[in-house]
Amino acid sequence: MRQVSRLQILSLVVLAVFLASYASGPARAAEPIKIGGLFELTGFLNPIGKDAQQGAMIAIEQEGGKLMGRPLEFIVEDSATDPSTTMDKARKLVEVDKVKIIVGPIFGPCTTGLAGYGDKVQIPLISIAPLDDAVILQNKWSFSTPGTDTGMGYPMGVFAATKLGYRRVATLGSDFEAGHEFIGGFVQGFQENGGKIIQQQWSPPGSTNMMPFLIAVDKQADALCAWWPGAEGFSGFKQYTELKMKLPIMEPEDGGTLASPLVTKGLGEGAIGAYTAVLYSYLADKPGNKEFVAAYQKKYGVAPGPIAGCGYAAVKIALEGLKRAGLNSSSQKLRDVLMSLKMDSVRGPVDFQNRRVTSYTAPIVRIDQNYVPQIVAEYRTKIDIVGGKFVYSLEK
Amino acid sequence: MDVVIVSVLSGMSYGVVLFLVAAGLSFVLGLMGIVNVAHGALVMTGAYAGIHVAKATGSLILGGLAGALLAGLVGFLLERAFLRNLYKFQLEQILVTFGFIYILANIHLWVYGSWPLDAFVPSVLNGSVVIGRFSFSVFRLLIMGIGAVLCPVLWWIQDRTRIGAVIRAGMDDPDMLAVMGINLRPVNIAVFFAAASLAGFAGVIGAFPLGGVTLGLGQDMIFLAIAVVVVGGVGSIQGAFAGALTMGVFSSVAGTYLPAAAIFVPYFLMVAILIFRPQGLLGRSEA
Amino acid sequence: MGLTKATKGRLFRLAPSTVLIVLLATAPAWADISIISLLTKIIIFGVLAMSLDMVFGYLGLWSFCHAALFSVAAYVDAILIQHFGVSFWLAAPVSILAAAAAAALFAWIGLRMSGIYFLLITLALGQLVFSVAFVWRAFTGGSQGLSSISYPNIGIEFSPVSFYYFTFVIVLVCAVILHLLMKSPFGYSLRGIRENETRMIAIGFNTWMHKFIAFTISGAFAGVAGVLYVHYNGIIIPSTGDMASSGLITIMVIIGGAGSLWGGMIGGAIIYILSYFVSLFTPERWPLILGACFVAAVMFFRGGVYPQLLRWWRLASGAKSALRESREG
Repeated sequence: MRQVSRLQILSLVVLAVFLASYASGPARAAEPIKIGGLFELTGFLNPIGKDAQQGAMIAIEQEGGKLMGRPLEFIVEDSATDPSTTMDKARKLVEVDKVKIIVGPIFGPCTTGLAGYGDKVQIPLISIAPLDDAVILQNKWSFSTPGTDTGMGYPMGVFAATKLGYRRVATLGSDFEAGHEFIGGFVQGFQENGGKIIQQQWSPPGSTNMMPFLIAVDKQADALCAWWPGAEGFSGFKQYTELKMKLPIMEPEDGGTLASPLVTKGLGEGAIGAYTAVLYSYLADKPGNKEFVAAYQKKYGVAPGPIAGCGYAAVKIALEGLKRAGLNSSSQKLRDVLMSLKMDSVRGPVDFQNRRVTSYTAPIVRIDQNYVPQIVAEYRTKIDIVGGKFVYSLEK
Repeated sequence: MDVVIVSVLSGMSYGVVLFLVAAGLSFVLGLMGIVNVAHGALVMTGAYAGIHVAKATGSLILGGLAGALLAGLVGFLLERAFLRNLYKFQLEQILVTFGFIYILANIHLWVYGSWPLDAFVPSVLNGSVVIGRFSFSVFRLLIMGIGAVLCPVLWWIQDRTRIGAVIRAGMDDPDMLAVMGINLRPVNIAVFFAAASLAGFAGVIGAFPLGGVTLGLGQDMIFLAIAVVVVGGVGSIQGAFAGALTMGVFSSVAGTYLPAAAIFVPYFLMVAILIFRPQGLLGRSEA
Repeated sequence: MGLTKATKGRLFRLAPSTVLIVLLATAPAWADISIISLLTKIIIFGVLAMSLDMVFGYLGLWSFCHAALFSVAAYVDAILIQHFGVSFWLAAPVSILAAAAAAALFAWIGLRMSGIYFLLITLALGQLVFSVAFVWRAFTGGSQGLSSISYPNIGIEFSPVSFYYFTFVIVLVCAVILHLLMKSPFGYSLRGIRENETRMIAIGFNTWMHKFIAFTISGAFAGVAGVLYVHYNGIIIPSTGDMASSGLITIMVIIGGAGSLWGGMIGGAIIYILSYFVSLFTPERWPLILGACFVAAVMFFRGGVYPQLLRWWRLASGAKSALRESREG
């Protein structure tokens, strides 16, 4: 064997120390009630995956370690932003850990793949972000807690046409399915109220260079409707700021970035004055929100962003379902309870109405000079399912 | 009209960053035959450290130096501790350096958190140039300026100095050097260190055109960098420069004028150039 | 009486693989469902890695598009079954042919160059496949991909365990075919081409044709893995075929041992087993440990884990005479 140098051995020892310091045993099987959590802790979606996990932890901690008199266990696994890894972890949560319900993950393909599995093993899946339309319609055990992507973009379109008075809008979205849906919702709401979409662009996934697309935006546009998930929002807003385009910008959903207090400032001055609809706002006056925000701020030193709030709300829904179904309930009972679940959340009223998707409140925020996302409007999107398709309208 | 100008200029500024990353890689590959897939991760390492130093001190120069130094140090350790005995074993090099991509990315996740780090722009460079409807940042002009200066300097070192001659000879005919009594070992180590430092520096100033430093920067950059090296021609500064700028400008212009095809452009470009000119744009012909 | 030295040698050589096959065949007895599923994934990627090793390890062609070839088959299979209602018996062979055809096309374009140039061309071509999968939303479902793909519809009511056996049999057959292929004159000629192509041409081999055929066959096996994968995973997304995935397959081959064929299978097992179990212990730090393992593998497993394990096995079993016999054989 080749000689192994001292430096190599030292390096190995250092790495082994890391290894040792992080080894901890897997969960013990006992009498506790177990909830599974799948989050994007590694992989490209990991900024918002981490946010969601942090929000979820607050909800768990608020229960004080017990649920209905029994110990409460929250088993967190990494989905790695990859469907097959998600499936591996889901199988482990269900077969080995015997969880009663699973929360997360966020990434579309992961939740879609998981939905089929949830149906097969009959374990309810509570989503953090909106689920794919097809999943909501077909998969009987998946619950989309913040509505749908399209339904999210819809009120922003209405707002842009009616309150902001735009007539011609260009769109620029990241080429993910979610992007198509969010912008699609915006387009629907905007056009229904007399607006005209004059140009649509799609940036390649994972782009860090939005300049070519920003400069190609149609001169005639009154405003730009953009959608960038997670880290892409950084390049998007920084470069928009740099170009000093005299074009107002808004997002149908903030991608977990624009309205996230941890990062808004880093987006640059272009973020000031931008409008976006959000999945959750930490400034909203909703039941339990003040306590949640205070607890989150205490633990993590910053106010919760939209996805953190979604993580919290999702776990709260799971917990409420478990409480109402009672101890030792069957999966079927748990599902029935969830189907007719009506409760308040930090996002506003949740009501599944036997359809596994809830109408929800979308706050529309505007980023002020202090980079705070101030709520300027609140819409309640009503989702109806007509003939296998979603129909959106606004509740008054 | 303003669209074309901004498109080309922003592509060039992006290209300069690619050049700085690719130049070092080109020489490490050409001279030492080492495939260091962690080169992009060194860019990230230098960027994170350098930008934090720059923000703390308010000086881009200090930040750039700090980033270069840290990346150079990590690169040096990588070479001395792990790559030293693997000079002819390219598969092992790939495996080791790939492991380091994971290690470096995860350490940065641990220390800095998962959100991107936004670039440091010194207040003196906060201004912009107005081009039609748009403003073009002075910082990008500075980056292009740095490229315009560094390229001829490095080119001069490559073609006109003794050390450059030694390096070029090392690429073409290392046996001859041995016969002449020139020890390539310190040269190799110095080149590796210089390449890593250049990468770290590129990270600090490149954060701006890249819209921030992300943990995935290592993996994103390395593919682009290898593409630039091969398209431009291995072991040639002018090749790396030509390749990088071509890549940068083409991607930028395609994004604006052929948005549907934007996702394909870099790869079509690579295939086309390699088919018609296998040694790269300005590469050294097969020895 | 007793066994001859040659037979003893062969028995020693076959022992590790036999033990492994027995272990895999009896998996449901000693492993729970989640491990069975993990094993299914491992052997599927094992075939993919072995197909890559054929051109990477044996031929010395640095192909960076095998994940793309794999995903071509997966997509074609899913599209045929879901969009066109084609039966599995037709969809599977067509998908494998599609992967082979793609491989042939890539080879035809790329074989005019070698080394790092070939790597780049295959990388670019692979990324083109990824881009098409992303952009052709009507057929491929865009970034969401194609989902709800069930087990093969061939009259059997599959369960995770029965699908595991189905996969296991197919993988075993592929592995045996590849093994025999690499032991045949064709296989040896590939090694010859890697070591000294000019010499091979001088003795009259049409090396281009050999490389072309090898690459196409390799693509076909990648296609088999792709078909198995899409039915196992239930969903296929564009990023399964991107350069990061191709890179991971390459790492599997290298860590297992390039040019040893079984190394690909071992490498896949190492990566997936490590990722899974380490991430259970530490959901956020596991990439760090995985990276450290790669580094450790280079330091302690010269030439790959499989060859090193073999060396240790031969030393441990004291079968020095068997070693001599096998070298002569």
